[in-house]
Amino acid sequence: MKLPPSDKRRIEHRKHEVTIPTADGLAVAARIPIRVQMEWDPEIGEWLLTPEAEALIETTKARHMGLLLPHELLGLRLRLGLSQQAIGELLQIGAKSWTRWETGHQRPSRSINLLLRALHAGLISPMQLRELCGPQPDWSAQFRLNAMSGPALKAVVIDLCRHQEETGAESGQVEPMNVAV
Amino acid sequence: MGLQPIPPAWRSAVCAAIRRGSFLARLTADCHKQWQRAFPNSWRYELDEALFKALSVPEMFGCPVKMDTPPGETWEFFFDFQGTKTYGKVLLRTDRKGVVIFSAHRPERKKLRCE
Repeated sequence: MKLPPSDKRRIEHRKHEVTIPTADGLAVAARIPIRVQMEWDPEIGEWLLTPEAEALIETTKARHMGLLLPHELLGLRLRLGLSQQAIGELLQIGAKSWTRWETGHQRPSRSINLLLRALHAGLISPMQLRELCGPQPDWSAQFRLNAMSGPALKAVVIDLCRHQEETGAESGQVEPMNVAV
Repeated sequence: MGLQPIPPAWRSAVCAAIRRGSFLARLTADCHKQWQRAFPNSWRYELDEALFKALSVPEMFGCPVKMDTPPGETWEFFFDFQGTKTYGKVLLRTDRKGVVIFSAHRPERKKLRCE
C-alpha cells in the first residue's frame, strides 16, 4: 500500500478489503474487495481512508453480515408507527440504543438483529413481542391446577421435559402424574 | 528511558478529535486492514470508544515516537480493545486538531520501544 513519497495531496479510488466475521465473531469468514476513496497524505507518506470510505466499508460489512442498515431501521420504526422511545421499550433496549442504531452511530448485535429482521419481514408483530414482555407462566403450578381439574396435555409434556433435564433421564416412559406431582 | 506518562494536553486533544469521528480522526488504510484482521467483528465506533476510554485515564503511559515526518506528536501505547491487549500508535498533527491512527492491532512485541 505504501508508495514513494509524493508532494501532492490527492484523492483516488483504490482497492480495499472489507472483512466479514464468522458468526461467532472470532475469525474472518470472507474478504470482500471494494474500491473506496483514499487520500494520499504526503506528510505521512500513506493512504488515509476518507470518511466516505469508512462509511462505505461499514455499510458493505453490515450488509454482508445480514444486519439491517440505519435507514432500514428507521423505515421499520415508521412502518410500525412507533416512536424511538416506544420501540426501545418494546425491544427492552431503551430509546438511546435505538437512536444510536437508527443514526448509524452504533450497530445492533447479530442476535438482536435476527429479531429485528423478523419484525422487518413481518414474521412477528409488535403485539406478539408485547405479550412476550410479560412474566413467564409457572408451568408446574399450572399443571397441578390442571391435573386437579382434568387432563392437560401441554403442561404434562413440558413437565416431562423438565423432569428429564433434572434427573438426566434419557429414555423410557414416565408416568405424567408421577413427573409433575 | 522507560514508559512515560502521556501528556494530558496530547490526550485531551486526541480525545476531542476522536469524539468528532472519522472527519478528524483518520485511519490509515494499512491500519484499518490490520485492525479488521485482528478484530473482524468490530466497528469503528468501538475503536473510537476504546481509544477514548484509554486516553481519558490520567495514568496512561506510553512512548513518544520520534519521526522526521509527519509533523506533529506521535505516541504509542497499549490499550484494551474488546478485552484484548492492543497496540496503538496515534499522531496528533501540529494544528492540534487532526489525528491519524497508524496502528490498532494485537501487539507484535511484548514491550513498547521505550520500555
